Amino acid sequence: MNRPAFFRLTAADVVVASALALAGAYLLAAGGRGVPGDRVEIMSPRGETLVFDLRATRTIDVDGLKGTTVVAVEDGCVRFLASPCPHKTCLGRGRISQCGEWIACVPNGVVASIKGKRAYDGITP
Amino acid sequence: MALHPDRNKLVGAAAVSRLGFLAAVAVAVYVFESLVPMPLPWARLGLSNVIVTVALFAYGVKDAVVVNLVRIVAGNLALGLVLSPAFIFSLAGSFSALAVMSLVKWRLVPPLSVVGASCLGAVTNNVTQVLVFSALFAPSVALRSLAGAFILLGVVVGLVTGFAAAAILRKVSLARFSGVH
Repeated sequence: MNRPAFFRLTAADVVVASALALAGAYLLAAGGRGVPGDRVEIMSPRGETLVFDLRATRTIDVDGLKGTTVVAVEDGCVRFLASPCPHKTCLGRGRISQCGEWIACVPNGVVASIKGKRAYDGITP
Repeated sequence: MALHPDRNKLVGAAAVSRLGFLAAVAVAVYVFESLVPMPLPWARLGLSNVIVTVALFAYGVKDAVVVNLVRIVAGNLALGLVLSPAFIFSLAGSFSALAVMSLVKWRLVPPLSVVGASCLGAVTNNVTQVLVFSALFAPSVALRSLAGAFILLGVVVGLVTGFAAAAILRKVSLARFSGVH
């Protein structure tokens, strides 16, 4: 009966939890915000990437997995106007305008992200 | 004391019923936690991982794999999300977390308790989900801040689920060593 008692907290637990929390906080702080973007890249599930200038007002229909997502570009901002997804979380994200900000409609497979001169990139597989 | 002639059958039946009980509780918690609002539609608190963690540390990897698979498939069937992106994220995230926690169980990483294992597992789960999201939908989107938020969330949820799993494991261990099954 000399099995390790996994329910007893160890010093290594504290070290691992603290290190992970610090790594998360660093990534969160280094996310890159506050720089206005100049274009939006819209990715559809077909692999297309559409690029639009943020200075021109327009409405874009993007074909997705479940139907059409309507994306609006106005006043240097981007927002999703309509989406066939069940939860409408993408509509709730509101407007984005800064480099690195993005809106994703996962059920419909449509992602819009703001790009600019200072490109912030994070995790790429 | 003479052993029951069908002892092996009884042990097998006990294992199956234990597995069924763990899987049923895991599915119930999985479905219940989908009601908690999260910033992203596929994200969950991950409280049902308590059951998978208990299955892993109290009974072994095979039991944990079965409980996890039943939890994801039956939970997403109940929610109408089978083969949706949320299903794929859950499957990828939970099995990667299980792999990492198995390393702790086998003592292949520094001597962590179930709390540390749970933290590592929760963070692995979340980071895997972000990577899968990035690979499937948004290869060029900056996900640094999202990954940071998910790591922090993973640490908090990992601690909560880890302490809950530790409390359950303490009871299971006491019951085993005192001969109560």
